[in-house]
Amino acid sequence: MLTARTFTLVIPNSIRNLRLAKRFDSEREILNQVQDGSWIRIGVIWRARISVMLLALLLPASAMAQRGLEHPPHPAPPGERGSPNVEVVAHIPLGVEGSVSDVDIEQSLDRPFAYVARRVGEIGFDVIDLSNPEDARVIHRWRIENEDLHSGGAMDGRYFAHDGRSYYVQSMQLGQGGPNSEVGAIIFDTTDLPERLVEVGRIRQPDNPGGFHNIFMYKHSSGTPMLFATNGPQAKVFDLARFLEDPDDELANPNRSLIGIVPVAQSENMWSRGYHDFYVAYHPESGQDRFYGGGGSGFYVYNVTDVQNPELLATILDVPGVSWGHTFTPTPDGNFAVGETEFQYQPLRIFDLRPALTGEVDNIDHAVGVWHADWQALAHNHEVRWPFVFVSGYQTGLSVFNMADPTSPYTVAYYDTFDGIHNDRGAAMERLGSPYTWNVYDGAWGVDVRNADGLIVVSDMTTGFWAFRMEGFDRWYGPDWGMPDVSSAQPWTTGQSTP
Amino acid sequence: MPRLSHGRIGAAALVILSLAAIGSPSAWAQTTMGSRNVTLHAHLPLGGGSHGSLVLDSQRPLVYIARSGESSGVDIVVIDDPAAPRVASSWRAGLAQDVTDLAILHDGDTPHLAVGTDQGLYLLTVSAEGEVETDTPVTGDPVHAMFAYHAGDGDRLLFVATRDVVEIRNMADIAEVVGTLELPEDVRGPERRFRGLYAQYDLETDTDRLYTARTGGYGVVDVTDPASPTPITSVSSAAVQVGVGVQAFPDGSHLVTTANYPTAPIRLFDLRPALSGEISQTRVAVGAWTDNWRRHAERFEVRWPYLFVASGTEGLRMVNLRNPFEPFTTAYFHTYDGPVTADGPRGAVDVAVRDADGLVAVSDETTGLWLLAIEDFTHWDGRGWGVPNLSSTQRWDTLPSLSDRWN
Repeated sequence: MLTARTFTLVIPNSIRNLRLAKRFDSEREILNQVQDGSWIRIGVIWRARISVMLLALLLPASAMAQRGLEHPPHPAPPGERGSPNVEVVAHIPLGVEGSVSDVDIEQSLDRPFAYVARRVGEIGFDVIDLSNPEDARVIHRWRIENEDLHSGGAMDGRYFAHDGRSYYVQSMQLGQGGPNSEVGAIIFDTTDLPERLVEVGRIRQPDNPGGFHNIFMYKHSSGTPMLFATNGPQAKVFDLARFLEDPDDELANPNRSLIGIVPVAQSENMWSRGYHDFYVAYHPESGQDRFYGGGGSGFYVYNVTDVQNPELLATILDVPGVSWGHTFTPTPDGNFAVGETEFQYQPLRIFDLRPALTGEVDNIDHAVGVWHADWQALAHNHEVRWPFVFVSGYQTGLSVFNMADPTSPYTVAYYDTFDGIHNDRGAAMERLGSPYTWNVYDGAWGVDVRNADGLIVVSDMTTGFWAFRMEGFDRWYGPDWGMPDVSSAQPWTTGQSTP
Repeated sequence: MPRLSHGRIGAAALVILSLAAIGSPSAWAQTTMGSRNVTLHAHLPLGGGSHGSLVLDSQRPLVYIARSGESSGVDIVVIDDPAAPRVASSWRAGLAQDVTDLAILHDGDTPHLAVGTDQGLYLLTVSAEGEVETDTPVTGDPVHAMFAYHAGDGDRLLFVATRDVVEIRNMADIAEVVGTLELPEDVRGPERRFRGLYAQYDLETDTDRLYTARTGGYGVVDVTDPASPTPITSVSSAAVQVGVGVQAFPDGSHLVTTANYPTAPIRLFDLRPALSGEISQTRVAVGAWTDNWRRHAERFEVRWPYLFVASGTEGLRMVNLRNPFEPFTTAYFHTYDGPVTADGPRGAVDVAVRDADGLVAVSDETTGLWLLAIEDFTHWDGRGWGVPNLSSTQRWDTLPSLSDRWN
C-alpha cells in the first residue's frame, strides 16, 4: 500500500531484478540496491513497496526482455548464485582445488553415469552414479598406477558403445619427466558399471609425446567409432573398433588403429600449429561427416567423410580479437558455430558459416553475434542444444544462453559454481608466482547435457561435480526445435543417417 | 471539490510518470545525461559531416576538430568563454581527403597545427583569433597518426606514422625527416601499420620514449637519438592483433591501450617486469575497463590517476586508474542519445583535457563539440599527484627533465 510519506522511485536495471522486487522491505534495502547498481533511482517522491512493482510492470517489456538475465556480481548476494529457473540437483566436492578437469555424461537413462577427469595430484577420473540424481555419489575413483611418479593429469573424457559393450576413453597429458608421457588415452570397459570397470588398453604416440589435450568420440557415418585426438600439429583419428580387436598389439604398433590425420590449414602468422579442441558432427543436408576444429589461428571446418582424405570446407581467420581457436561447436544444421578463444575479456563469438560453405567467400573474418557472462572473465567449454548453448565459464560457472537469433544471444539461466578467488591478482601471485597471467583460469571447466531428460552436469576445477536442471528444459530432441537431431551425443546404437 | 488522499495522489503520479517514460524515451535519457559531478559548459553542434580527432590548444583558447566527409578539414573553435564557444574558421582539405589526426606544435612563439590526412601532411598557422593564416603542404604520404613532442634536449619533434613507418621530424626544419622507425618484421597480424603514437620523457632513465600502437600490439622505443630509434620492449597480447591507442602513466610504469574491434576493453599493461628484464615481453593485461563490453573505445587521455575516455555512444567516461587491477568509472556524460545499431553511429570519438583548468572537450561524430567540467578536477599537475608532470600536453617552455620539480 502507498503511504503518506515520501517514497523512493526506482526501476530495476534488469529483468532479473524485477523478480527481486518483493525483497525490498525498507528504504535502506532500496538504497543498497541502488548503490550496487542493481536498481536505478529515478527520484524521491513516495515510499511504498508497491511503487517498485507498479513501475516495473509499466516498463516496456520488450526492452527489458532483450537484455536477458544478468549474472550477479561476484561473490553473489546470499542465495543468489543461480537464476530462479535453475535447480541444483547435486553437488559433490571432489578434492583439492585445481584437481578437476572435464566431465562427460552417458546419454542413456539406463546407464546413469557421469565421468569427471582428475589432474594435479589425483591423476585419473571419478565415476559418479546418477541413478538417483538428488543422491549422486562417487562409485569409482580410478587413479593411474604409481601416481607420485607422474605429473600432469587426465583431461577430456568421452564414453562410447560398440558391439554391445560400453567404453570410456580418458585423454591423458602426462609430463615427460615421468612415465607414460607417450600415453594419449586410456580405454576402459564400463559395461559392468556400477560394479566395476576394467582398463582395456592405452593409445600411445611416442612420436609426439605429451598426450592428448582433447578428444572427441564420433560415430562416423560408416558406423566406425572414431576417436579424434589432439596430437602434434594435427588431429589424429583412431578406429577404436580396430583398437578393441587387439589392444595388446598397440604396444608393438602404436599406429595400428590410426586411420586418419586432419591437418590445420596453413596461413600466415599462425598463432599455434595444432588444434586445441574439436567437434565432429554429421551434416544431414550434405550427408557429410564434418570436423570443426579450434586452434591454429582460428577455426576450421573439414569434410571427414573420407577420413583418410580430409577436405577443407571453411576457415575463420583474421577475426579481430581472435588469434587462436579453443572450442568450436556448430548448430545442428551446421549453419552457425560458436567459437571460443580462452583469453580473458574475450566473449563467445557466433559465426555464420554459410558464406564460406557455399563458396560465396573464401574465409569468414567476422562474427555475427557475441555473448559474455562476465566481460572480466571468459567462457571455457560449451555444449550446443539449439537454441540453447550451455557454457562452463571460468569464474562464472554454468550459463545458458539462447541463440535463436544468432546476432543477439541472451542469457536465460545461470548458476555460479565457483566461489573461489575471483580475478584476484594478489592471490594469483601467491598461488602461481605471477600476478600477470592465469588469474582467471579457475572455476567451471566442463559441461555436458543429457538429452533424454535435460540433466546438466558441470565440472568445476575447484568446487567439483555439479548437476542441474533448468526449468522448462526436460529433454532435447532436435526435431522438436525444427533442427536435425545432431549434438555431441552420439547415436551409438543406431547410426548418423537415422532420421 | 473532492479531496484527494495522499495515496491517490501518489498512485496518480506514479502512473503519469510511468506513462511519460514509456512514451518518451528521451525523457529518461535527459535524467541520466551525466553524473552529478559533471557540469556542461556548452554544446556546439557543428552541422553535417562527421567529426573526429580533437585537440585543445594549451596556450590559447582554441579547439581544433577534424572533420571528414564531403567537407573534410578542420573546424577551429574559439573557447575564450567556455560557455559560449563559436566557430572562428574552417580549413578544408583537398578533394577526397580524410583528416586522420591533428597535433599542435609550438616553435618558439609560433603555434602551428599539423593536419594529417590520408593523402598528406599540412602545417597550418592559426591566429589567436582562430583564423588560418597559412597552410603549407609538407608531404604527400598518407598519415595515420601524429604526436608532437618536447624532447629532453629541448628539440621539438613531430612523430608522423605513415604506412608501416614512423617518421621523426624536427620543427626546426619540418620538411626534413631526421629519423625513422619501421614496423618490426616479425609482428603478426593484418594491415601492417602504425595506428597510434605517444611520446614521453622517462625521468628514471633520462631518455625520450616513443610508445606505438601498431599491428601486433604496442611498442616502446628509445628515441633519445631520433636518428637511431632503439626498441626497448613490446606488448604482444593474443587478443590484440592491431593496437589503436596508447599512452603511458607519467612514470612510464604502465601502458593504457585500445584495440580495433568491438568487445575489446581498454587494457592496462604493467611494463615493469619487461623493462627490468624479468620477462622478455609483456603479454597479459593486469587490468581492463569498459562501460559496454559489446563496443569499444579508441581514443583517450591519461591524467593519472584519471583516464578520460571518448567512449563511443556511451559518451565521455572518466575512470580512476589508481589501482590498475581494478579501474572504475568516476564520472560520465552522454554526448549521444539517438538510436544505436551495429553499424553506428560512433558517438564520442575523441577527448582532450586542458590541464590548466581541467576543461574537458569531447568531439562526438554526430552531435559535435561538448565542453565539460568535473567538480573535483579543476586542473591537472602530475606533481600534485606524486608523479612527473607529464601528459600528452607538452610544456613547451619547460624541459621535461624538470617535470618532477616544483621550482
